[in-house]
Amino acid sequence: MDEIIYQSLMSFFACICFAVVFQVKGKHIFFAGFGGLISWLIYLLAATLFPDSDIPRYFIATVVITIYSEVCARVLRSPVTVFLAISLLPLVPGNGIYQTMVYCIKGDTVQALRQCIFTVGIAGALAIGIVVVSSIVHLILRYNHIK
Amino acid sequence: MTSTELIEVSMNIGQRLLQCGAETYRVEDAIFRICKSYDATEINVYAVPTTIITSFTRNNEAPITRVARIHKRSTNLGLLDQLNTLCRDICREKLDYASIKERLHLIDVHTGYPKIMLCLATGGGAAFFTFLFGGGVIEAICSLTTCVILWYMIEYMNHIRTNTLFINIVGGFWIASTALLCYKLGIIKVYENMVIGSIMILVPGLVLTNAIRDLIAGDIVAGITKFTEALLVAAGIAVGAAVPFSFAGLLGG
Repeated sequence: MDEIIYQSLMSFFACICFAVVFQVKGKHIFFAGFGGLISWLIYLLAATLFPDSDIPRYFIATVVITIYSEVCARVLRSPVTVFLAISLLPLVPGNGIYQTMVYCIKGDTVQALRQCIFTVGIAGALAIGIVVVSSIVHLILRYNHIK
Repeated sequence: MTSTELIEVSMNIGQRLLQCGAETYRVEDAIFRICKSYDATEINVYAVPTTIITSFTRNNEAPITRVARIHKRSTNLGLLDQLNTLCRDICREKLDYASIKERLHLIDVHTGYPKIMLCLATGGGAAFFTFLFGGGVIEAICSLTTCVILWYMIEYMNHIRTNTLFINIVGGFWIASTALLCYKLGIIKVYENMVIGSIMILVPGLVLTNAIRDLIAGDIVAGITKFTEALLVAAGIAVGAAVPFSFAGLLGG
């Protein structure tokens, strides 16, 4: 449990740093960083639900932070991207891309392809998570608008 | 506002949005809404990461079209936020040409964070990612130093307009060689988490995710463009990192 809290805090600080790099201003920095904490926390906690596979964990974490970002965007009157892009950073498959190229360098084509497909799978899970949530939010807003 | 002025401001805003890393649909939507709120009809907007094309007719005049080519893109979410607010205000209050120009000027002069802060934040991001991937304090300090220097290198290369591929080759080379050097000198025990943590500031994870989002949303060309961009960046880092790794392999690392 300590490990989970420690890692989530590190994710929080990393996201705050990246919020500054991406020129986010004022209190938005804190909320964007907090999104980073949530994303990594959910990713770690989902390990008990899906012990065998990584991709559902990425998907669930993305769904949660997309909802969080939509709420933040409505409350703080800012585009969703400001919170989403930063909260997503710990989840984006940087490690996968790195492993792919390490195997490429070693000449281990089979492992490289395996890693490559896994990486695109993670990116796909993230993208589908975002699209599903934002489509549902859009539908709800439309419905309220028409009613 | 005349049609020429309308297409000028709407394209100007669209171009800035695309340059600061807005999603394709947001750019198209912003231009469309601005044109629509000034009674333009038959509005067609086409945006890909490198180009915007807009065309509309207004007051039974001949159709008016403009093309903008985008060369440089980065992620600037603060600017994106300001432009989005401006865009909403334009649609709601139907601002006139002079006041839109003034607002754009205000956004221009509103400077971002000082360079030293961006530089430290880049280093800090790398250090915290090193912690996240299981590194200790020493590894994190090594990543911080590496990325602070790397930030200055990238800044200089951007200044002299080096192409993206070369920047990433240099970045990959620099990170891998410093990590291996620290490892060989015995400063750090494992070099993997330092490399992964530092490389997080270069890898195109966000671009890859956005590319797939665009593909799902139906902006096929924009999605493929971003996908290719991500591949190119990843290839650049891989080529750069390959050199020190293979040397270390030869030297029995």
